[in-house]
Amino acid sequence: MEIGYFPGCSLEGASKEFDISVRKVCELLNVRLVEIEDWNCCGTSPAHASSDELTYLLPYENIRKMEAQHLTEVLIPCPSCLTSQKETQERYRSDKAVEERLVEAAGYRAEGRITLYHLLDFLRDRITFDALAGRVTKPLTGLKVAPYYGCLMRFPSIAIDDKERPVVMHRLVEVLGAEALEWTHKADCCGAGLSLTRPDIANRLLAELLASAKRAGADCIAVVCPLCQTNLDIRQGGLKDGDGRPYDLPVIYLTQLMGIALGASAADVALGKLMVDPVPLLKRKNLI
Amino acid sequence: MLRVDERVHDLKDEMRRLSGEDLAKCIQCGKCTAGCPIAPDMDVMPNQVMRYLQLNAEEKALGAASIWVCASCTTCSVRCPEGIDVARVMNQARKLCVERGYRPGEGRVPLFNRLFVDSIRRGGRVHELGVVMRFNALTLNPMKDIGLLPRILQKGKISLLPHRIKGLQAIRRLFAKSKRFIKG
Repeated sequence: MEIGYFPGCSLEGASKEFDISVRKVCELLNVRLVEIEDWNCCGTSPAHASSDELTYLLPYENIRKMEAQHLTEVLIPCPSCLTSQKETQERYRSDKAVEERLVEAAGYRAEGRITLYHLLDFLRDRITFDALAGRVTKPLTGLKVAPYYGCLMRFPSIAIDDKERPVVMHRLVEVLGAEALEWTHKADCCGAGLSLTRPDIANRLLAELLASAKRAGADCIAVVCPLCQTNLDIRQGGLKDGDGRPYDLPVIYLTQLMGIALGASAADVALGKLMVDPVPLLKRKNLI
Repeated sequence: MLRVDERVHDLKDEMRRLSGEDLAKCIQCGKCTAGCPIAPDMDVMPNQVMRYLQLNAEEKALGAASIWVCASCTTCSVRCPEGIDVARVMNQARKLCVERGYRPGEGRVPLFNRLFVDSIRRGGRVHELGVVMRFNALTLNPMKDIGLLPRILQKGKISLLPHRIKGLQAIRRLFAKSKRFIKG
C-alpha cells in the first residue's frame, strides 16, 4: 500500500520519536509513505484564534501541494494538523463563501477530494485489527497500558468512536498483547498549549491525569498526540503524587509500542527520546 | 447593572454571522461550565460568557480571561443539550476581542499565538524553540523551564535552527491577503 504522509511541525521537532515510530511501523506493515513535498504549517490553534482566513488558507496551501502530487489518501498522525486539514477541506466543500474566498486568495481551485486519515482510523479501517494481530511477533504480555485519548474523539474530524468513552485505542493495545486499562481520565484535557502560557493550569490537569492513571495501576500511558505526549512527559518531572513522591510513568506513543510488538528494536522506534525513560519498564517486562 | 437597549441583539447576531452558532438557543443550563476542566481557573464561567454575549454585554464577554484560557477541549460543545459549539463561540470571541480593541483578560495566550503565527510567516513552519524563547523573554521570564533544556537538547528533541520551506513566497502572499474574518 502507498499513502501520502503529512508529518507536521511537531513531528519534525520535539516529537521526532512519533515520526520515527510511525515510519517504522508503516515499513513493518508494508505501507509506503510518500511525504508531502515542502509541506507548510497547518496553523493550528494560534492561527484559529487569530484569523478565519489563515485558519483555512494555510491548510489550503497544503491541499494544493497534495493535489500536485496526485495523492488521493494522506495519513496525518498529528491530531491538530489533521483537524486543520480536514476542517478546511470540509468547509471548502460545504460553504460557498469559504470556497470562493480560498480560490480567490490562493489563486487555485482545489478538487478537495483527498481522504485524510488519523492513525487510529488508518489502523482500524485500512490495516485492520486482524491483519495487525497477524503481524505481532512480540506480544506485549504483562504490560498494563492506560490508553489516553484526551480531546481527540470529540473533534468531528477524528471522531470515529464514542466522544467521551472511546475504546478504539484500547482494542489496538489489546491486539498488541498488552492489557488496556479503564481509567477515569482517559478522555480528559491535557491542557494543550496552556503548558507554556499558563503552566499553573496545565499542571493541575496533568497531575489529575497522572494520579488517575496511577490509581488504575498503569505501567505506562499510551498516546497518539504530540501535545498530549509532550505535556504528560516533559512536565511530569515537576509533579508529585498524593504522597509527595515523583511520578515515574512513561508516556509512550502507540506507534512505539506497536513497533516493539511488531519486532522493532528500542532504537528503531526512538524510545530514547522520551523524557521519562521507558526502557527499565520494558526490560523488566522482558519486552526489549 | 447591565443596560439593555435596542442593540441587545447585535453581538448575538454578529456571532451567528461569524461562526454560524446561534446563542439564542442557550438555555443557561450550565452544563458547559459543569464539565469544563478549566472552569476552576476562569474569571467568568463559560455559561456566563454565553449569557453576556446574549445580552450584548460586549466588554464583559470579550474582556474575560476565560475566552483565552479555554483549551478548546470541546467537552462543552459535545455536552450542550442545545447543540451549540461553545468552544467555537469562545474561539470567535478571541478574534472579536482583538478586532474590537479590548484588552485581553489573559495576555499571555494572545502573545503566544502572535509569536507562533509569526514563526509560520517567517519560515512556513513553526520553529518551536524560537517561539518558546521569544515568549519567555517577552513575559520577562527568560529562565522559565531552562532546567529542562539540557535534557531536551541531549535527546535531540528540538531543532536549534528554524526550517525554511521552499515555497515561502506563497505563504507570505497568503499572510498578506489574510483578513481576520471571512464573513466579517
